[in-house]
Amino acid sequence: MLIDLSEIELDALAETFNLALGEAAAMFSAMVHEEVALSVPTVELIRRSDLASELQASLHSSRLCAIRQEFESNSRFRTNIMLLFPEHSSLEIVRCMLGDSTPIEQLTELEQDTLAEVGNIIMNSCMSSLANLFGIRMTGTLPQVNAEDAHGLLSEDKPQEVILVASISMTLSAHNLSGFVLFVMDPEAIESLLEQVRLAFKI
Amino acid sequence: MANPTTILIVDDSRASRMMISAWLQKLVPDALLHEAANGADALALLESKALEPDLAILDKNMPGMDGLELAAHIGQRHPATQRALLTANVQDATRRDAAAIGVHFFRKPVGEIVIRQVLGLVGR
Repeated sequence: MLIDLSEIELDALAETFNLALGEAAAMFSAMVHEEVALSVPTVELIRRSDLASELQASLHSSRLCAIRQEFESNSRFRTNIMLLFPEHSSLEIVRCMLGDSTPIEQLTELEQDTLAEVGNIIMNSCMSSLANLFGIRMTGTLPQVNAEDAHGLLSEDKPQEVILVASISMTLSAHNLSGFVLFVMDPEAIESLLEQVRLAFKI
Repeated sequence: MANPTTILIVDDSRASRMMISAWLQKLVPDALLHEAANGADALALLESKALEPDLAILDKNMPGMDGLELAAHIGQRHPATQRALLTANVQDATRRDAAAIGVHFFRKPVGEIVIRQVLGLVGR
């Protein structure tokens, strides 16, 4: 499938995800009680395997922890949203959220649960921004948490498939923690996203 | 002296219930708190203990019955209970669904401000 995006369409897509993620960063910041620095969102068409390699390189880690949800809507638009960070930082994120006074055994016990809740809040907030911008109703699955190699997380047995990825990095500078929020759309979903974006921005 | 405020907390995330309880204990130390991890357990708890909570704080996104369905059940069986839906799902559509069944809508993440707003429903 060939997709040709004009400059204005790319710009509108970046703005769409900027809106969705700005809100999410504010929520994340409130949860971990510190400032979250955001990169400029990038929107690109990329092979699944290339995306996995890029993420591994930028997060300096081969094993990543992913919290993900699938969202669909009452229009044709659907997307996967993923929150990704190096596996070794997951306990630190849980500690930021629950506070330094929580004993380490309890942090470990609550790790999956807390990560799922962090993901749930961030991703539902992203989804709500998109749904409100597009004037549609979206519903999502419950968050899934798992840690594995980036290629395993992203390839879905189709490493050569070209997907649309909107990504933004979030950094907690006080803790030297970085992660990414990704919107991942397969070829069928891309066209429906463009339809919604053209309508919303009157392109 | 007035009866202590009875509050039901329903959230599938244990971490989230812990945070909500911690804030409630700080802001209303005399409140009686009850917790459940899902809608079915919450309804069973209300029945088995013959509870009539003043306030029910419900997560929206839960496995099985979601927070809105649970709110509707509680509304039918316990009409005096104020129902607060806590969610990051701030879609206009969800707000309308909540308003349609008289449920108050509050935004996650949970913190002091949100819990104070929720407590405002029962005048605390």
